[in-house]
Amino acid sequence: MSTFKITIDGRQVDAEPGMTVLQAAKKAGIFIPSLCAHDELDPYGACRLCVVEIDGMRGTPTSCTTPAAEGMVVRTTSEQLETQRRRTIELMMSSHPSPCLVCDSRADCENEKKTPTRATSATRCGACSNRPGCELRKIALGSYSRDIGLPMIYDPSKVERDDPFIDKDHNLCVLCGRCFRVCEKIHSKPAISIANRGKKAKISAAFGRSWSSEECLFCGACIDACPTGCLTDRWGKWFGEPDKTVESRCAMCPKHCKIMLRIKDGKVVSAGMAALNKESAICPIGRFALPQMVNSPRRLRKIAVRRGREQVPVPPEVAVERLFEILSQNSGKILVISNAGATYESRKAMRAISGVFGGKLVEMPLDSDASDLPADIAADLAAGNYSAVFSYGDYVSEEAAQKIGHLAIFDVMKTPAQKFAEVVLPISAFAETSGTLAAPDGSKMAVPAAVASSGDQRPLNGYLCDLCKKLGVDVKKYDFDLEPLPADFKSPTEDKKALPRRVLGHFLADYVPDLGLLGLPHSPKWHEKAAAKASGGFEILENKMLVPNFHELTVKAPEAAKFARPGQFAILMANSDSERSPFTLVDWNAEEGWVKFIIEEVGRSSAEIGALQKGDRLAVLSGPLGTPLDLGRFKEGSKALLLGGCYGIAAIYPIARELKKAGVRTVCAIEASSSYMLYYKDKLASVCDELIVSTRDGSEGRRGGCINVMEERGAEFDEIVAIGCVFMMKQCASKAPADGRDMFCSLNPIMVDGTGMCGACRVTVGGETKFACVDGPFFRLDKVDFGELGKRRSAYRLIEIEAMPRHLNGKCYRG
Amino acid sequence: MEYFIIRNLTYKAKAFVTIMTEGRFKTILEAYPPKRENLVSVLQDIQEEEGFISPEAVSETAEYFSISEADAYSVASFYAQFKFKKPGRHTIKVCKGTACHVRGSGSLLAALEERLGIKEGETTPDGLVSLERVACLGACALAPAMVVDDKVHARVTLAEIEKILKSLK
Repeated sequence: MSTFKITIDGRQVDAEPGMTVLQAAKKAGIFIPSLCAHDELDPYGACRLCVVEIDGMRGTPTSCTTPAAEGMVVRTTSEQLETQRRRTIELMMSSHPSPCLVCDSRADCENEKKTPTRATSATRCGACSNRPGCELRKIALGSYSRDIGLPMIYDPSKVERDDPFIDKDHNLCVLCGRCFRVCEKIHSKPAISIANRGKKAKISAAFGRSWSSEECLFCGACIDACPTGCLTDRWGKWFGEPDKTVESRCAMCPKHCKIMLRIKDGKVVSAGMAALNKESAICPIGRFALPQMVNSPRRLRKIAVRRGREQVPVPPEVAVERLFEILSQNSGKILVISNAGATYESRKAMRAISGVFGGKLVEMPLDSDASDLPADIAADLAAGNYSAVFSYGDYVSEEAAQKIGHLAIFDVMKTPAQKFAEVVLPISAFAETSGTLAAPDGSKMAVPAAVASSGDQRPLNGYLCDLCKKLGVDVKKYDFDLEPLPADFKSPTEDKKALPRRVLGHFLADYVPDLGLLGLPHSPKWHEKAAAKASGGFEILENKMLVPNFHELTVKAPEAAKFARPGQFAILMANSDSERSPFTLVDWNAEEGWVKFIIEEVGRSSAEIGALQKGDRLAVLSGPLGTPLDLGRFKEGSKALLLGGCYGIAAIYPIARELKKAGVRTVCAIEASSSYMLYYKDKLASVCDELIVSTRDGSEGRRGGCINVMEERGAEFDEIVAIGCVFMMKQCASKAPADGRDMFCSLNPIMVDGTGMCGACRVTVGGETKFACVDGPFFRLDKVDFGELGKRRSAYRLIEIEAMPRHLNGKCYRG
Repeated sequence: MEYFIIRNLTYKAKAFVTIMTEGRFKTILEAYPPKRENLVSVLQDIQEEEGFISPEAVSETAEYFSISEADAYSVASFYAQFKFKKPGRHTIKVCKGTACHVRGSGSLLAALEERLGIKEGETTPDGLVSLERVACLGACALAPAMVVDDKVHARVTLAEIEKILKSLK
């Protein structure tokens, strides 16, 4: 094919037959904004951003759908084009939560909070998991448009979380159609499409049904194609842009699909297809379950050997030595449970070990559990006929384990039988192991490790190699042919019913509860655990979602209600093993015996509490804690300014109420990103003399935040209290009058016991170390080291991301 | 969390279930070759027969045209003419064209909504009446106009509404 020349913005560039104007421009490095265009999809022409002017053509054609032709003269910028694009962006933004884009403090705020807040609903860029990768944001932040002249529409009911793996927030959708086009390309018949028309148009399955009930195979390609944060991977979305992508092979079923592992900070955070086409399709196990399994908190991490009645941690050499002893002392009475899903090297070594000592070898299929053991072996195990058992995976029941003299467990995950084992060996998971797997035709296929193992974990072959060396076995003698893929193999990429249900004896759905919604079974044990209902604790009287991500929680706690005073907090835990987090007491009634909190969902613990419904129980409520605000300082007739942002809007309420009683002239100033995030306006207005409302996008009240109120009017007041996020308080401090008048802020650092013992809540105030839980939470606003506070608050960022809940229908699953 | 709805449950309601047999679907479908351009015609014929498009109808149609249900539903839901819920035994169409609007059709619609306890576009729970709003009936001289089933009512008053509603069985 011969190339030809076209002129774009006065530059002669090469184009090939079949290229669109957009493609030719892209190839020449000329930027034309576009959203619906995707390198691997056919032109669509939906977003109207890539409009250009072409000599001899009427109007402004879209460059993504216009084929390049010899001698074409194209202009990508002109006043008309800019205006047109700005209008298009404005229309998109009018139904896309965008207060961050127009906020005057955006750059400072994003510098302060380097990663977005892990909120449930993306009510702004700062609470959207896709902030780092959002294409719409990139274009909007370019030269096109920041000020949106149209009113913002936000509908909380457009957040859908009832499907496995995929969070859908239709508020963020720009109807570019990439998701269903990629679906159509990969699966021929798209499971989703645009339903309805006009402002009701929405990406949806037929009749708005959930995707799990439809043809959707959960390959996740739509998530990867989505230019905004509309479709996201519920578990993996908060890790941010990956550092690198490594090609590998999935080892969760015998098909061993090619898979692109996305690595962030040395962790597999997500997986994707090698290319967006039918041949490269992967299944939900590879796409979603695999990263969750590899990062599971239930991974086995420590090598242990039994000494007397206890299992003690030991170095690998000691464990191998123990294995050697077990083998040599129990020759002929050994059972080796290997797995067909292991690497070729490991399987060979397992064969060698059982071969040398005349042991019985059983090689379980990858998708199997203890109930699939051959009948004779299961009977022998139950009867305690083996004196030594080497089990790779969870194949030995607790009952059988107690009858085995010497049990060695090799596993990726913790197992129930582990506590009866003599040797426990943590194995590197897939993606942490290099080795040989079988290609579909049975030939050998080398798979490299994508990330390093953590803890004591080593590949199975790592232990076995050492053991074989010790035994002096020539492993080469045990070479065998790998099995090709059976002719009747049903690919899970084409049928949800063919999804592997277990791996190494573990039920996948136990670790990845979303799989339960796709019909995958749980282990019997899981059901027992789920049926156990929590008793005790504190009854939830009401949980009201005031605005997205903010819950007003009323809890029955007569004792706390009796002693609560303005400014105090309590430590709450949704479950007995939850993190302890402090929440400000917002309201209470000693006679009726209840207390109120505002729960802002910002991560696992707050999301768990936010998911509690009326009648549920809060495992722990310890409070009231902290030193109440010294109301004696506020003199009758003096003027007080109370500033509140996010949860602080509610936190200033009890203070304002008391000040009103004391006859203090009170002005309350509250800020929110946009009008749809404002709450408690009436409540505050009823207890203060003046209420100043600010929104960052100017959609209600004045445009700006508490910082502007502080700057303009701060000097009028005798006392000032600011409560909100670290950034808001820091901003207020920067504009506070510097004459030493009474100014306070309420700090909310990471806290553990809340009684001054652990020191986790350490803050620096005026050069002195203070504990926020007992010395605070109130400190002088002008003296706090906010930089340090912000850093300390984000110390556990990665762990917090990994712990993000598997949330479905408002119910929080525990990973 | 009241915002997150389990959407599937809605479709168990009786008003969505088809009464057509598989054979009847087959007859309607096979009147057209399975080409995408015939999709709307087939859906129109089904609606003609049953009064609405049921999930079963979408399913059968999608299978016949070898497209996905989402795709078929996408086409059907684009057009205002297709309904996905069984209409009432009687249909009241209130004209909201300019002339009728000026002559007070707004209060007619409001009165009907109040009297029937439904909003426009909905059907009474007993399946008796569906209330619709139309852009213009082309009977501006008779404003405010209303069509009940096939009968045009001219210069409707609030008092007449009572009479009309009472006559519906």
